[in-house]
Amino acid sequence: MNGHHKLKVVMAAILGAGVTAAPAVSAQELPDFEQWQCRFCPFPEKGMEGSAGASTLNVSDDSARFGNYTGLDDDGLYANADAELIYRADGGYAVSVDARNLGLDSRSIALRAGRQGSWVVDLSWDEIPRRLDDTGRTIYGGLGSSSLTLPSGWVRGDFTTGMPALDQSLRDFTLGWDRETLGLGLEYVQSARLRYEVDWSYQTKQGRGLTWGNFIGVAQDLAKPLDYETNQVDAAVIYTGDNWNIRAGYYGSFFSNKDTALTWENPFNGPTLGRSAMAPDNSYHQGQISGAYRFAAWDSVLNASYAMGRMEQNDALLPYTINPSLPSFALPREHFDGKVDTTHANLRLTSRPIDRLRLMGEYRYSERDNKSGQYQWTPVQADSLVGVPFVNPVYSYEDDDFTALAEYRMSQTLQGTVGYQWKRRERDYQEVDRNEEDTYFARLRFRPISALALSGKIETSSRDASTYQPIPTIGAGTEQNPLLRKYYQADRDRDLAQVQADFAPAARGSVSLRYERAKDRFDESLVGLVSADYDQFSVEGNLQLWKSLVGTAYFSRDNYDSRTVGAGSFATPNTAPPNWDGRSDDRHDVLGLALNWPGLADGKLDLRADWMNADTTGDIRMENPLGSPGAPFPSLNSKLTGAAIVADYHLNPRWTINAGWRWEEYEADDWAIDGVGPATIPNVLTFGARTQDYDVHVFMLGFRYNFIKEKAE
Amino acid sequence: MLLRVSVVSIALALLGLAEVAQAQEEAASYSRRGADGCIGCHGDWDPPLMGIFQTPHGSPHDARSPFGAQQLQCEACHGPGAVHGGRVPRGQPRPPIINFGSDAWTPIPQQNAMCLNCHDGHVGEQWAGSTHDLNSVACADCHSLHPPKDPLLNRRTQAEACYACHADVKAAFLKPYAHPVRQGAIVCTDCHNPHGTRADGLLVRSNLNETCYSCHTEKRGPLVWEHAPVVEDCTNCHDPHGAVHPGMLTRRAPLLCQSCHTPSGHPSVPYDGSNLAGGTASPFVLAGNCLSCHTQVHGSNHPSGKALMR
Repeated sequence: MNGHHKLKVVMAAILGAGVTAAPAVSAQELPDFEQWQCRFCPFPEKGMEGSAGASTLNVSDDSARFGNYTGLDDDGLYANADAELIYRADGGYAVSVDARNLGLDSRSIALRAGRQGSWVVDLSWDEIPRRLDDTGRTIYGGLGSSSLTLPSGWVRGDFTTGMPALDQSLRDFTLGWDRETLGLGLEYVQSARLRYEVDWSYQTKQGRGLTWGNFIGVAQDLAKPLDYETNQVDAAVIYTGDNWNIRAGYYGSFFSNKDTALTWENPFNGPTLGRSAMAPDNSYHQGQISGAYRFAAWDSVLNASYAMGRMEQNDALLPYTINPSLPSFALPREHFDGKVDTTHANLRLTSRPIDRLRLMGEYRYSERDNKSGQYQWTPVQADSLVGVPFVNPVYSYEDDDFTALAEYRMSQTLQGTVGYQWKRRERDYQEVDRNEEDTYFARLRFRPISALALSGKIETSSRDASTYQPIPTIGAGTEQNPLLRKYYQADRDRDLAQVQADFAPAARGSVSLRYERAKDRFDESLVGLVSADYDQFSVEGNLQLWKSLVGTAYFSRDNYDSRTVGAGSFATPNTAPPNWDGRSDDRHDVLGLALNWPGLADGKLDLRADWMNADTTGDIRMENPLGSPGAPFPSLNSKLTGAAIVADYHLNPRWTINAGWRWEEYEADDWAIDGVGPATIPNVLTFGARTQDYDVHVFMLGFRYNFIKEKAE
Repeated sequence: MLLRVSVVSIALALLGLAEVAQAQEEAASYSRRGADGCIGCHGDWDPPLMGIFQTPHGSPHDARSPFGAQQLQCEACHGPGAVHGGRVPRGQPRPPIINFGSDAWTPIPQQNAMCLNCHDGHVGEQWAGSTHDLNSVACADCHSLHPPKDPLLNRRTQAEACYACHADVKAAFLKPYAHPVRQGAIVCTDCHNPHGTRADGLLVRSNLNETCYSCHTEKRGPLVWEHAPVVEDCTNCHDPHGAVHPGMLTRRAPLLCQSCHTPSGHPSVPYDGSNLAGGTASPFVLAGNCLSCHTQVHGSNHPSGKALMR
């Protein structure tokens, strides 16, 4: 901090932000730093600080879902370790390590070295285990590769029930992948005003994902190979002036997929082989500049940003089909020339003309300009039928939005805000070229006493769509019903209300309540999504129950209800009037309790315990399906219940023994997979996966060593 | 007489102003001994304050730090403290000093201005007028500067700090299909920048889709056959904080797909409980439902991928 910065601190302290209308007060003399010895300041000494621990975990049961993201998918013993350490050297140099779950597939480690205020280097390693499913069975060989083969002796059939070798060919397998990221970062502070930042990461994603293969009228669950690599770079130079700052940066992303296609043998009668394209390599370059300027008048700040980028993709294209019985057409190109230019910008001005009033205005612009080539293609549908030639649409978008807002402080306890937002989105090659949306909102914050804070917000918006126009389709029978309005383009009225209360009557406890309700109405839509309602209520309280014992309780309920109107018809084109009504009601309840009791047994024992239940229900009702009463769907249910108790016993200031127990149970009912075996659907050969219910206990015993200085001990 | 009254009034008024100015000047004086004076009273405060010396703010080696050479130590953030630390007449309350947090007496704009004096170049580019700024969020509502580790900057504890206000999101991450914040695999700031951005929802990249692409890079494309609502906005179909339905979809297929697809035949007709495993076992409802055939729902780069089947 140079002298000018110090003066800014003094002025900010005296005047406060935005109290520029107050009488000017002369800045004080800087203190006599000779007297500011900081003799009692406990600056850290050279040496190691922090703690490191090791533990053993015993997991009671196998479960992919419990192991999803945690790495605890197999039963048995795990050895684990973690550390949060820093070694401080002379002159402000330091090396730190933050490691966790070193013994699990969810491990991460971050090393940092440097001298604060001069330079810092980060090196990190992070693993995320995605365990998708361990309940399915497949007939295919070559799992994890780009070529899936049927077992020898396989007998094809027209339907799954006519595949005599099915049962004997099924074998267990798992779906999932590991995402591993190596990161390297550098921050160099050239001066108090100028610094540089560079972050690079190299990420791999390897394993098996879920996909499907199909021919006309039949399909099968498949495992697709995942062997992705992504390099990403963020680099920036930042300059901070007296009352302005600017950041110029570059972002680059480079994705590579080692498997460009997936080929599979058809277990049904029909074409022998099918082939799908996998995600192609892509790259993205973006240049960015952003900054802020702080005006002396009215505590005004002008923020602006501009970013321009290009996405590219030019992978070699696969042939239309690998079915030798179909004619072979020449591709219009060997490599697709995919190219999208992006532009994003904003300009925002905030100002406080008087102490009580704050104004904000912002304009934002965003564009996705798809400059990819357009060609006439002759698609072969599902390696089975030669389709009608068609030109690929290239979707572009252009968004503008403008927001104006005024915030007025009526008193120390009451503050109100009103605002308006206008949004425009333009598209091409779609039914609606242009949407415009007007939104009005108001907020009120009231703090009648320091222990109670109340706030509320209301918002209403109306989105208008330009003329709805049918877009060209690929052949007879594929036209949309003319009454359809797609919800993300359609006229829409949205109302939202939100209230929150935070009450902290004493240091011993507090309670917070929150309620939100939102309604979407698509009144111009006769077919499609016509309404969506969301509401959420939560309450959380904590209380010092006795001495250091603190309890926390939490409850939340949210509902998301929607209504979709359909017009079912087998006539071509479909011009049927609305003749069915699908309602979907989702509910999610969460109840949680936690106790934290540190300092027991003369400060040697810390206890923590918690319990949680998350209960979800999804009800779908089809009303009046084509005039019939309609059979109800059973409820979709899931219930996650968990509890944990952890005890830390401090043998002495250096050594702590940790013991814990964690339990989680998950139960679900899902009609999309319950009772669906590999051959249940006549024309789809599935994995026969089940809901991944589990009931897992984890016992933990470990120790932790604290690196502390002798005198602290 | 009138003139005399006026002169006296003006004199008194000037005297009053002078006193105010003197008091303000006094209030703006720095303490005599700096942090040593503060620690004399606050050294064993509860909650403990001395942890700050293990943080970047307490480093004596960084010229930019409050405890760097010739810096203003505690008073760099809390403002001049001569009056606060001086003698107080018996029975009088000790004059306050700038303090932090939503329940502090110091107005939030003034608190945040203190922080921005040094951090303008770190977080200030898009802070002014951002969502948190406009909702009067104090820097100290989220950040804890005195403990040795700020929970917000620790990936193990960050989410709990955010949940203090975003209770709905806390619940959403407990839905059966959710991003793995509950498991600690990702954290809020992987997607959001709470200090303000040019994007809706304080997203870290230029807009929503570009934020999603930073992890889901394989979906960036551009592809030969794009699915229009996908490239427009991922949240047209997904709720990224968590959902009742697989894939974090906002609604269950086929209903979700049928909101936009109504051609004659299977896309347009209704499906109900009679189509489940115990009934007709419809491929449009069970297992992969629509995706069993339209496998490339995020778009296809296959020359025959028009219907997203290859």
